[in-house]
Amino acid sequence: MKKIIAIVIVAALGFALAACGGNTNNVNDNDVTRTTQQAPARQVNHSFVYRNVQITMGALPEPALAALGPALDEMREPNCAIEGEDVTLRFPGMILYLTYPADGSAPFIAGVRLTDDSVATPEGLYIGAAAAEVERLYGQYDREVNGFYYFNQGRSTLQIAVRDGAVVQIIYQYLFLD
Amino acid sequence: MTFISPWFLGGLCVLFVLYYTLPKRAQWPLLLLASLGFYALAGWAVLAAMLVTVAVSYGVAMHMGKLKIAQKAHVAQHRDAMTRDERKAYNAAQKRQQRTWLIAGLLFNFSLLAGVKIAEALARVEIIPSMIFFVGISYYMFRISGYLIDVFWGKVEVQRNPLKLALFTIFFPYAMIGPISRYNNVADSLLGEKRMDWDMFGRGLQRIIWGFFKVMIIGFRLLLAINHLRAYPGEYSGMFAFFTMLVWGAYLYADFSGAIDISIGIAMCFGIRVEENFVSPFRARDIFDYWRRWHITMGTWFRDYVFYPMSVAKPLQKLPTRLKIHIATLVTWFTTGIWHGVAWNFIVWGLANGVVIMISQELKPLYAKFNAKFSFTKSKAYTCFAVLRTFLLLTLIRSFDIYFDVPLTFRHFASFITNPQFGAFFRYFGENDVWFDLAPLEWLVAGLAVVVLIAVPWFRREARGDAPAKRPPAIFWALLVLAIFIFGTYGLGFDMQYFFYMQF
Amino acid sequence: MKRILSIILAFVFFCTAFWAMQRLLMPKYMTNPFEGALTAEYYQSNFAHDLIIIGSCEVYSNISPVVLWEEYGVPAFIRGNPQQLLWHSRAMLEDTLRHETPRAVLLSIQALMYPSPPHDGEPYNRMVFDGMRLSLPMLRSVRESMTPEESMLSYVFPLLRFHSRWQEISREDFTFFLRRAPVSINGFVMRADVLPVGWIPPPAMLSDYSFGQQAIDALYDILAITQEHGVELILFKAPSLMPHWHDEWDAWVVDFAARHNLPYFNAITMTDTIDHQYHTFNGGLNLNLAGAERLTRYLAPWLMDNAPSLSDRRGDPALDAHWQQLATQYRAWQAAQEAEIAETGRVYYSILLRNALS
Repeated sequence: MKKIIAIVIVAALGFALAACGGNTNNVNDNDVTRTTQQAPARQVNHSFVYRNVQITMGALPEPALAALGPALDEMREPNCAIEGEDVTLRFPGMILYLTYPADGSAPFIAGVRLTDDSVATPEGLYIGAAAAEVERLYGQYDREVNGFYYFNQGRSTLQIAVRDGAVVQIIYQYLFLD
Repeated sequence: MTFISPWFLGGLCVLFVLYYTLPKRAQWPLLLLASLGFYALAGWAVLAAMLVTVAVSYGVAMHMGKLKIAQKAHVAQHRDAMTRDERKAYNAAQKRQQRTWLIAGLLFNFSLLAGVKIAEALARVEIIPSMIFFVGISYYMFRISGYLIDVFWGKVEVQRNPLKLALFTIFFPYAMIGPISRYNNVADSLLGEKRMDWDMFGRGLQRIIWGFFKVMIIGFRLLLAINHLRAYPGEYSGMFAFFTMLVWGAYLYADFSGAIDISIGIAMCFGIRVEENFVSPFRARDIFDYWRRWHITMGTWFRDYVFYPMSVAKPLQKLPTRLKIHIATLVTWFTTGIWHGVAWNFIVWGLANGVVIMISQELKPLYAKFNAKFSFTKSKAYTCFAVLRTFLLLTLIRSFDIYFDVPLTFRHFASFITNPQFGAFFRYFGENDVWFDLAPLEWLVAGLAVVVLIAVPWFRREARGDAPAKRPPAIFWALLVLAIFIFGTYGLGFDMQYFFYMQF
Repeated sequence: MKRILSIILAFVFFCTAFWAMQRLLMPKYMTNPFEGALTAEYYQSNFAHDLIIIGSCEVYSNISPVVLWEEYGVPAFIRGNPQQLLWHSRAMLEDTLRHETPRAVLLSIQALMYPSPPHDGEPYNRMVFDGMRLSLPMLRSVRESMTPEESMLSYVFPLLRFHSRWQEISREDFTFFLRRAPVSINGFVMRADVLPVGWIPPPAMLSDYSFGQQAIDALYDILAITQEHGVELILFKAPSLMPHWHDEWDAWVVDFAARHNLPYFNAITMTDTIDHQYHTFNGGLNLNLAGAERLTRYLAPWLMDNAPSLSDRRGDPALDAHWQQLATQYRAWQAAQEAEIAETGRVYYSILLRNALS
């Protein structure tokens, strides 16, 4: 009978009420972006502290630059043909890498490289330290390639190169690729 | 896979050629293969769920059919030996058996639908891992359930070929977006052998182009603005919120009706007629008229399978007629809301429609007296007023879809009075180079496209069944295709858009 | 009949309008980034080049074809694009061979350091391929170069990529609708200004100095193609101070060249000789005009010694006339740039281009 049909439909559909939710299916989750712009992730990335200035990978450069003051040297490497450039700044004991993307999206701190033993990482590692310090200070690495140890955090990585039992290179890098 | 894909369009061209060059008896199997392939691209689980549904429904329908045949034969054979009461009792018993099978079939279908919707809701709140999207499940479930009910009512001959039933259920043009076709309306043209009808093929192509024009120039473009406006609901209240609602209406119409145009157009190219789903909904004079013009097949499905049966249900018979109608109305609109989604905004949307309809029904005698007394109600000006009133009312009701947040939507209604932001709204356009993520030129393009939409009456007439309709010349279509290529919202930097109604 | 005719006319109208709109909406590359016009300029040449030079700004900024001709009689064309990858270079070579067969190809191998298509490579892909004539090798390279958001169809019908430029239409699009102004002299992008080398960051060590397989495969493809066509392949590394060219990389190239008996000219060893410090227009990335001419004067005799296929072609009347014209244009551009530098301190390419067209 028609009434039974109607009741059955209603009752069965009523099951769906048991899972009342907020948004509908994410097929129509339209976070449409007009361009392929991606703002750098604001996750908990590696941070390096240089003369009490916190330098976080992927962060906007301006606050750190304002606090650091003028660099000893600067190199601007424009992208071939299109807008955007990479800027490299030298400070005593440190090189700071900045990226100003071609698509006009937010600039970001792309990396920090320690250049001598006058500075150390927040955990206390420095150029020339014994290789054993790496494991003592950072524990198990995420990846190792030919004596290069990688420690990932958020969308950044800390690369520590060891040669002949000593740390020879320390680089923080922001991994801006998805 | 959606219609907006070079692969889909390329495959469609190949399919057209095969369809009209292979022997005619291969036509419907070819369409079935294409439909299965289309569904398979959505995932094997999606295809399997659909096939299981068809298999179960086929079995249920066949069994009901057998019972009906046996019932007829028995009555015919024993007509002289049975009294009237005995015949009545026998028929009632047979009907109860058939009903049991029907209930079983419907329970299976709707339990599967409910299970999928519940699982999707649980996945959204991360209670269970994310799951695949069972695209089109609401549409084909209603399609085949309607078939089962029609078989039970004796309105439809049982389809003995399970493959033909599968084709009716998941014919790819209407599989994921509708219309929710009735078996009797489409079976002949869908399953029969067709000759090449150049006129129909041409009109089908024109319908497809028209659909792309709506979707890609108006729909997807306005969605960029909508996404910006609803990303900052706190900021965009008052006039901004009202503006959002207006733009949402235009977007929804362009997106949904455009997709339906493409769906209908593709079917026409195969010589298949399916039901219209939109007939100038913004010209509706009242809410009853509106729901005869917007998502027509959904409205008629709920009317025929929920409202009418409910209004003659035995438990309600003791109630006064008007109360009975109102209860049936509310229940119908409640379930219509649920069909859209397992979310309070859809339920409130449905109930809001139901309440407005109820009030309109109550006021009908009063309106009739008013119209009879005052002659201006027959004037064009009054008609415009009625159309505008209905447009605004439905704009407000439709806005529950925008934010998916009922309290927020009500707060925005309140903000029309408490914080209208008239000044800020009009200043916005002067102070900003980009208006809600769209450049002024893009608004102009969308606006001009809407003007074209209104000015070209051909599709309206065809949708209403007026014939013959004077069709725009070929050059018009060439210009339209060119406009789609140039002004369409696609390509690098635009995320692939799914039609809004594909999520149901 | 009338209906069929109207359909045909509508179709013809559509094709014509589509072509016209595509031409109008595609970027003309007559202002920054004008390097996008380099690929197509090759088709305006006389297709009579003994030497084809292929690579990125490492070649199109650093080698002067006019000096190569005037002083050594080697007719050359530089087919380069910004950040041209090796599979781009392969496409350039294949495209060139459809029009002429040079005696030798000088290939910049710096692109070996790019193992795969960069995530932001779409603008560079467009600059390489938009000006290139459609062919199957071109489409193969497109497929290898495409970023995930790109589609092959947009390279066959560029309107699908650039249709949204309808909002950015400018006078440049109409001015250069039918013809474009040259941005190079036989592929050489002239920059007469000077920005001396400043501080160059010391290079970081790499954990892995191996080149990517896609780049290596492209290099082997290039080798095979040149062998198949009887073209001599010569490897080249420009004297760029950035990006850093590691010794380990160079060792691989030296080994590759030795194994395949290929001449290899590493100009990095010559940075002092050519006084690179002062003859650069962008702080050491590329040479300026003076630096390019100096480098060419070292490169050319080495080529004549190490590439037996090349010879002095001066005295050929057709070539003489053609190169006389190019040299005149070259000198005129040099004078215009030097005047502009004297007045403004730098080179504004768009002004030069408008002057060139008028």
